[in-house]
Amino acid sequence: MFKRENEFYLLILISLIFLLGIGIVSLTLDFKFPMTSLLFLLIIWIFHFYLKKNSPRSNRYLFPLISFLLSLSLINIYYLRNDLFLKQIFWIILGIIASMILMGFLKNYHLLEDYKYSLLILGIFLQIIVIIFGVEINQSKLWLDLKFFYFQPSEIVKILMVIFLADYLKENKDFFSLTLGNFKNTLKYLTPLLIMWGATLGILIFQKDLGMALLYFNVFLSLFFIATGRWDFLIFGILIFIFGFYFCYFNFFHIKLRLLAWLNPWLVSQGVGYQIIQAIFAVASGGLFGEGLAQGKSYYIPAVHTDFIFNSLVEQIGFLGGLIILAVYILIIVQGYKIALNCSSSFGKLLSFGLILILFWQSFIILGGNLKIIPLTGLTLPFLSYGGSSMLANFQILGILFLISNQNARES
Amino acid sequence: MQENLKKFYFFSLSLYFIIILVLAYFIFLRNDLNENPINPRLREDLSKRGNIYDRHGEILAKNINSKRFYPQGEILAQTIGYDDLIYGKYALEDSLDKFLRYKKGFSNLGEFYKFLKIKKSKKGNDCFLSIDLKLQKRAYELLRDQRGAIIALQPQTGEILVLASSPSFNPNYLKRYLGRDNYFGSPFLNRALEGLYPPGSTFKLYTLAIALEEGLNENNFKIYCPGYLDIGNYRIHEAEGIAHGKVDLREALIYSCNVAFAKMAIDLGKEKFSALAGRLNLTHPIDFILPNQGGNFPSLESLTPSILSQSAFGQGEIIITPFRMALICSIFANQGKIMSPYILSKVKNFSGETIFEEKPKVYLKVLNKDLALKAKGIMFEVVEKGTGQRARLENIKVGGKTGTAENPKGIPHAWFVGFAPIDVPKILVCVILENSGYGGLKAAPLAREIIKEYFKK
Repeated sequence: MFKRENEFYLLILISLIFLLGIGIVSLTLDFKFPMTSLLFLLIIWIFHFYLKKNSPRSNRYLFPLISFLLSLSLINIYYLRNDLFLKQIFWIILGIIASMILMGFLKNYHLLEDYKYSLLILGIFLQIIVIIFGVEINQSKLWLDLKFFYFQPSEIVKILMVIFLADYLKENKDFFSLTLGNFKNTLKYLTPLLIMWGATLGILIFQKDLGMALLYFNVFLSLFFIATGRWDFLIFGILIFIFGFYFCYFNFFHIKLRLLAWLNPWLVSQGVGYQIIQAIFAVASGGLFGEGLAQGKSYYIPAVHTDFIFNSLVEQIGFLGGLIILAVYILIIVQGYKIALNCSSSFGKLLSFGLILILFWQSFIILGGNLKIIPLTGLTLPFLSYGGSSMLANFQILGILFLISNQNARES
Repeated sequence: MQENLKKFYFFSLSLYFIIILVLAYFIFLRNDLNENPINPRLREDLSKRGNIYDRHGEILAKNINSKRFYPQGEILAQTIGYDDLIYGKYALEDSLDKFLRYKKGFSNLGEFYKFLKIKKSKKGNDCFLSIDLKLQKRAYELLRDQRGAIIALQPQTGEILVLASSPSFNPNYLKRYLGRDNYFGSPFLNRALEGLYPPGSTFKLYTLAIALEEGLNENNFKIYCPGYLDIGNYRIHEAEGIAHGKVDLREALIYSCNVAFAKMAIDLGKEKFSALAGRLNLTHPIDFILPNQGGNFPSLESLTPSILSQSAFGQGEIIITPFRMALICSIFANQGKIMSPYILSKVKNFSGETIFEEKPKVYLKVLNKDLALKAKGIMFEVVEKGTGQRARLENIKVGGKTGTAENPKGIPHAWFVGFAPIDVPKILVCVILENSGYGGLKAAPLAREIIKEYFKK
């Protein structure tokens, strides 16, 4: 019997950190401890015991790492947006339950291989639905109005894309690894690349979602490179992406604005540059240890709870706190890398690392935007930002990773 | 595939490394962001701003509900100034901003060490001024309803005790004053530091300093004063045409004889007369924590005999601030040396640790001790039996010099500059009242009141 002792002790530690954090924030706010926060502890412990029973040999560090991020997320949202605290807990519960259902239903992740075309069609279908029926918020058309909440299908489609790609590349990687032959071959080489490029530009143009476009294309190129090891494809891919982006820059005003706000926000500090400047102010005021939980003025940043959760946390817990958050993301990547290495099958390798690539690129793109390294996009920071769709999708990633790691351990 | 996986793995870690570097850059190298005027964090730090105290710990500025409050109101408004969300910062609130403002974090290793030692500061630093509130109150009371200024300092150290200017404004109700085109009498002008006036006869102290240094004394400088003196086609008058008769160097100052000083300046020559002005840097502001004005002193070329003779008793083209006049007088009160004037004595951080302390420094050595002592004796006689008798006190020996400065606006400005006690002067006072008449009549009693208040225990 596997006790998952590491996970057990780490989760105890995290539960204490969570209670302490919520306690500090509620002391600063109104002296009322939110009893609803216990629901969060309940669900993470339920998941722990579920894993112990149904997936005992799966990775033991992923869930504590993610629980830590979730705790920080809830503590911060309780401070920033009291009204969304319970909702965020609800998204977490929903995510965990969905993930348990997926694990119970699939049992063997290789089943995914059989459904790759259905998944692909489902993905394309969802994206087209959004383009036709989607609602436009903040100039982006990403959401389906499901009455009780706005659902963002692109969050789920990113997983479908990776599943499809993993299988597609598994089958064709030897072909792609060969040197180019005649024209017909070259065309065949380039087809998937061009399709992906077109799809990405479609997202950029029709959904006006720079972040997702960047995420999809980066995940695709990275996975393609890992499967084939072809530098020429990588460079060609980057070049056509830059070309496409350049084209959009001159033809779509919202993309131009985003870029201008990034290049010199100080020129438009009261306009489109306002948000990023306020975000940078928040980071700079953090210092080494930060202002303390529930301190500081990060609520000056517009859309702080979805777009700038990292800046807000840095203002409160400082450079060291920021380092800890980054370290947790790095450790998640390390765990994913380990899972991928332990896979005996190519599909498992590509799938597990592909899923980790989503978490990696998504966190990098938004953190880079938050710190003005790259233009700001509307992506969520996995497991930290407020948001239902991304919570749901990211827990699906976690579920699949548990399945893979559990199976790896059984096979060896 | 394993190889490629590994390559990408390291690539992804290095991207995270870039994020860490940029994070460190914003936090440790971009402290300017915390002071950027559009940073909303700056606005609200008013509630954590340090207090300002006088030398005895009386509060001059503090925070109430995230707003600055000045308990002393108009009494030293131009000196303390204000810090207001709408109107900005003025005077000491502006120049002491780097101490008073609450700053978070630290910018270098030294500060980091301090930070660990004193824990986290919750408040800006407190500033302690050398101002004596009791004296300042008295000074403002004396000036009320008049236009003028009083400055008092300790000649031995350079500490400013009083810096009063009237008319004044109430920094707690700025809206009343600001934004209007005309408010009577320029209440925001700190007349003591920035008001430029012809010094009149108080400037004879300047001429006296040069004369003593050039070896003139009561034995070798004797003239006859008929009440006027013709220089070319310009005629110098005594006040009210009084003829002083036979006067020597002492009597020239005691009775404030214009003719004697005019002759003295002409005897000395324009080069020697203007050399001291150069050393005192009279035409430029002094290095001081508050803005102050440099005056005007005629250039060598423009010092024609008639201008030179008028300059000797502070008329003609000379204009000067009361602050500067007080410093010139302190030459005699402090054994020939001018001390660097200062108003900020101490800065303490929130835990009471002193992080800055001013030490008295010599600004300029002008005369040797004996000559300064001699001049001090003459100034004592000015108050004992000369023009400054209204500054006399029963049991404290006062020395001083009066001035009645002709000016284009009609009634002369009344000046008095003096110190007490005469042996080792502890306080030096300079008074100016705009357009109010004779210095000996109008200004000297005010100086006496200040000195009296100072020694009243």
